[in-house]
Amino acid sequence: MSKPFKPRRPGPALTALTAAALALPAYQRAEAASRDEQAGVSVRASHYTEDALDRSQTAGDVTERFDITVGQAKGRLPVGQRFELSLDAAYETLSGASPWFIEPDENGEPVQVMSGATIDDARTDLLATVSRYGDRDTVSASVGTSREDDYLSYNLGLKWSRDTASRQTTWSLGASASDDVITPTDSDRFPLRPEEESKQSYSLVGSLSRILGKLTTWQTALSLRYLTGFLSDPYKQAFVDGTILADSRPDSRWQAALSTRLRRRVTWAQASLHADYRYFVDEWEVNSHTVKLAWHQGIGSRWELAPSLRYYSQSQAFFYRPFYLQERDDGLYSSDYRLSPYGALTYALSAHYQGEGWSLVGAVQRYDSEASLAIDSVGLANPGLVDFTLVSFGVEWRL
Amino acid sequence: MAAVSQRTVNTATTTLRFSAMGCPCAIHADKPAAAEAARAEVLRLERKYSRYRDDSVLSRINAAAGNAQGCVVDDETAALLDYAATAHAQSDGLFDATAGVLRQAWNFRGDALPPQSKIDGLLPRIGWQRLGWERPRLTLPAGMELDFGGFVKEYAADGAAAAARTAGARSGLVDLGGDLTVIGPHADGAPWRVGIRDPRNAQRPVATIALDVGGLASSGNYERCLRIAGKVYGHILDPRTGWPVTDGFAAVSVRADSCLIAGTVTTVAMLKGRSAGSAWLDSVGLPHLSIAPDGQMAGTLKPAG
Repeated sequence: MSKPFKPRRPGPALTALTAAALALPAYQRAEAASRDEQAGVSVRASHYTEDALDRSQTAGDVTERFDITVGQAKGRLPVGQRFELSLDAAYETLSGASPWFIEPDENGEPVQVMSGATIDDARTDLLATVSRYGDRDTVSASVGTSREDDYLSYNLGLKWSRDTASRQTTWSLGASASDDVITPTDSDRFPLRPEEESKQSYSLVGSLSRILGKLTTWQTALSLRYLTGFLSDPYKQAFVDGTILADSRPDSRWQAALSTRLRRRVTWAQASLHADYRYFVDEWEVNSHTVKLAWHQGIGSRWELAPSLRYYSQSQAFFYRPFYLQERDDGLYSSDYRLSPYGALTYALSAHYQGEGWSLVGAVQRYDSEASLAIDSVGLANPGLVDFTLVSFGVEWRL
Repeated sequence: MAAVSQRTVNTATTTLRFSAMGCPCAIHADKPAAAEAARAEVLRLERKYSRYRDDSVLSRINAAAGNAQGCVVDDETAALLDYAATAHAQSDGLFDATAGVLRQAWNFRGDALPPQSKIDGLLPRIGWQRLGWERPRLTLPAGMELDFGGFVKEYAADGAAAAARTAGARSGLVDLGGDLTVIGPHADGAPWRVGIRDPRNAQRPVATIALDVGGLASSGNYERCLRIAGKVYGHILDPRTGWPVTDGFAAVSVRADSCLIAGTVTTVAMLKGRSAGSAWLDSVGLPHLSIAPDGQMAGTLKPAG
């Protein structure tokens, strides 16, 4: 790898020529080269369908789950010499039923009870970001909001990244905070639902990216997150010794994640291999491992096809049970499948086409989760574990 | 001069080949639109500074020679004139944008040396110090003319690379007849590998250089020369004598932050001859590679492994 040019002894002639050259337009423009100098607009539509539950593990007639349609739009505009503004918007409509609580059947096997009525909701997300590109530093600040009928969230973020002089290494540090208010619907009809609750979250992420030789790049990141407030799910309940209690979780949660990503160009195949690993651990004793492998295959100069496989395994939260045969001293209950022990496989295929000033992307993803896929053996599988199919299509234009 | 070795141009890169500024040009970029933007910048500068177009800025300047009012030039041309003045001063008068009139005496496609009387007739029309340059007004004495040929191609390589980056390219290389500017290293961070041509065998590189940022310029006496009575008269002409440099390098390559500066330092090294040229290259302090007529190489530009 060649080192970036550094004159060992810059003579006066070089100093004088450099000063004269810097007045030329070509070099003034090149200063903030890391910014994308073109405005761009992209749109993406996705459809997410959860599989119906197994009737044998469901109480009642409702086995259908969520169906979600998402439209996303993003615009990016360079401003002046060094700034960029971007705006992300998403609108999503959701309908279907969700797991409510789990009860044991006569054999002591867990059976899922679904929320009876079909839920219809819509969510709107907006995020505005301003970034300043320096010669080696990029600073971005963002402010966003997300709202649903029963939910309102505001978030703030700050990120700073810095290239080393050789541009072989990039450090970044980011911090963000959010404040959410939840006003569950129909709390007058369901006495276990709170009228209004709130939660806050704060996170800090540091990352280091390095170019390792001609063909390999590597990134590692450590993130810490602290959540506080109402962290339970107001729409879920737990079966506790024959009675139904509200989902009730601790009111604080520390989380930490260490992730590492490797990108290796496979020259002979005109492809690159992406290998990612993430380890997550939290205060509720949930820990997880994620491994993802993707093969990005170039086909000609404009197409890229990327099959990928992802494996995920998590352990359960310390207070989680599918159902409770007796009360807990700490009063914590949750039968949410997302806190249960399970493993999951995701198979995905994406295709990307690069046109002149525009590009297309299409992707299909299949997600299957099973207790038996978990690294640790699981006694009672949660019957509410989700399987879904995601299809998305997007277009980007450079203006 | 330098050429990109084909095997390092990966297929995710668009390559645009065209002819401009009297040489074959190639632009490699990771985005087709960026390669187009780079070509447009090369063609813009060719139009603006062509000696062969009546409507070019350069033709307008030369047409005003002898006019006491001179002519007023735009900011970009003014910055190029400032640059040429700096190069003239730093090279003790060897880098001279008024030396183009020597073409009237020398024909490197012919087979005869020009008569000394013809050269003597041209020398009074050469000399940057004779023109009046007070930004933004340039006055050129009658009979003199400017030629940006000594630096506009190198400047265009830098300008084209900047235009490609502006159009969103992250990776790519501009190659204007061997004057090179990197748009950005390969997507995986790997540098571009470029070969430096052997002055005695144009098909064979003498060295391969890894280039991940900045520019590389090369100049050789092998391209155009007269061979008369066993003596080689290269096309690099000393503006003070009107004659080709004697005891010069066969070729010089210099790497710098910009192709423009690399080209200027290369040209001055060629003009100074081997002894003074080596001292000049050392004093400037840029990575360089010089090749003597006997093929002996010297310099600080490290070939890639």
